[in-house]
Amino acid sequence: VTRECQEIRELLDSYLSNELLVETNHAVLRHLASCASCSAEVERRKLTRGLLIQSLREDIDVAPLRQRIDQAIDAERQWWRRTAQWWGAAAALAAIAVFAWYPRSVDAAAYTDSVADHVACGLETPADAWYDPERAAKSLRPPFTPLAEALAAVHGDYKLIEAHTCPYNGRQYAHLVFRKGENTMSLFAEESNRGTLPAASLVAPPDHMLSGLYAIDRDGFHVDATSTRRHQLFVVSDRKGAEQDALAKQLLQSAVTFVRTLEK
Amino acid sequence: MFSRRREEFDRSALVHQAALMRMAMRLCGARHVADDLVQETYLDAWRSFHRFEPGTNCRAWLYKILFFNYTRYRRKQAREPFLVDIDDAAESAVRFDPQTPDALTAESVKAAFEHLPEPFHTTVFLVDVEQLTYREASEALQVPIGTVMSRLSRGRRLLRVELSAHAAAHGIVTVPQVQEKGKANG
Repeated sequence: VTRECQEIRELLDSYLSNELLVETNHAVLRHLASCASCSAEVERRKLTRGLLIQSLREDIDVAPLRQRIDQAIDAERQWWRRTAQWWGAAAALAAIAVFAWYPRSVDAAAYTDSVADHVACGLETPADAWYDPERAAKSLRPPFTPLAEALAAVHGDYKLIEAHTCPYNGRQYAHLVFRKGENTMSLFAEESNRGTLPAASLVAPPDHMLSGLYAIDRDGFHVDATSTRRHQLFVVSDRKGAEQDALAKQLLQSAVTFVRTLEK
Repeated sequence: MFSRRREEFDRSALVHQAALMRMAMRLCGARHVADDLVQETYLDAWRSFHRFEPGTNCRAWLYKILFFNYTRYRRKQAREPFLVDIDDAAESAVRFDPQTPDALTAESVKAAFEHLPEPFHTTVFLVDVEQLTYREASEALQVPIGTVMSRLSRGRRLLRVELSAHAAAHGIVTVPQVQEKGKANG
């Protein structure tokens, strides 16, 4: 074995793996063409690799293991699915709890202010006042302008005599005044931007028209009230009892129908 | 969504199960331990399959997880690291490069291979038996390509040393010896 043979043999493994640079590869090939000893060594190394693969790359029956892997992955998937379901349910419950217990603000002066405006404005409407659609169209600001026309029909024996926008204590009431003889009745509609209605007696449960009708006596007047998603509405009267509540309900149903069109 | 991911996993990863089992068997020795190791490897691969980029080498990625799990297993078992860095050690022992003996058999090659120390054993197995490229082996073993090449060169040389020793022990003469005997008789 010459010195050149030793140098070439250093490269034979890389030559067999086809990892040599082109020039080096040519040098190895040239040497192998003229050296029987190194050619034989290449063949033996090739054989060694072949036998290595043959003896070590045995076929293994992986079917039972495959079954175990499939089961493990399925179990993992089930665990995630169950965990996700539990977390989803827990999150939904938490959201419901937060929504239910969230301290929503209450418009504490809602009934008092409506009664006070009824006294200050509704009762002050002249005895000979009459509903003038043109005047109402100018006095009742948008978006409540069409409310007067919507409620202009006679309710019970009450007639609409006045409709205007009535600023009171920071509120912008749409104020409709009804009168029957000596009795005056006010309907107020406003955006509910101060919170929900304070507690009052439920005189009619929620139905497809109203989200419940609530009544309360305040400062000698009777207030019937209801609310929608963005509005609250009041009927203030000097009369009380089931008949008044029924009349107020009828008025409020018409008013709610109108304000819901504003909320769409 | 799940079934598509599962199909992709079957197609890319589970097809290498036999190759991983062969490596695991070499590492662990016992079939049941190798089964556990491969199962754990596939479960880890499944959990992080969203991080696997389709089109890249899944086999090298799986080997990487396998070696990581095996290292963890060994640490847990023996409180010692799996890979003892002997890249820089025993160089003199590897420098001698004998001629490959004649009359090789599958048994003699296998017996010689079993004597290879780590990490040469694993590197030779990955490249010469499982036919990984240098880059794949580098990724699987988490070492630079240069280290793979160095381990491979020394591992193959050590294999020849072992084969020569095996041949000598069984009275099998090598080619030079035959030539030398011929010269002596002539």
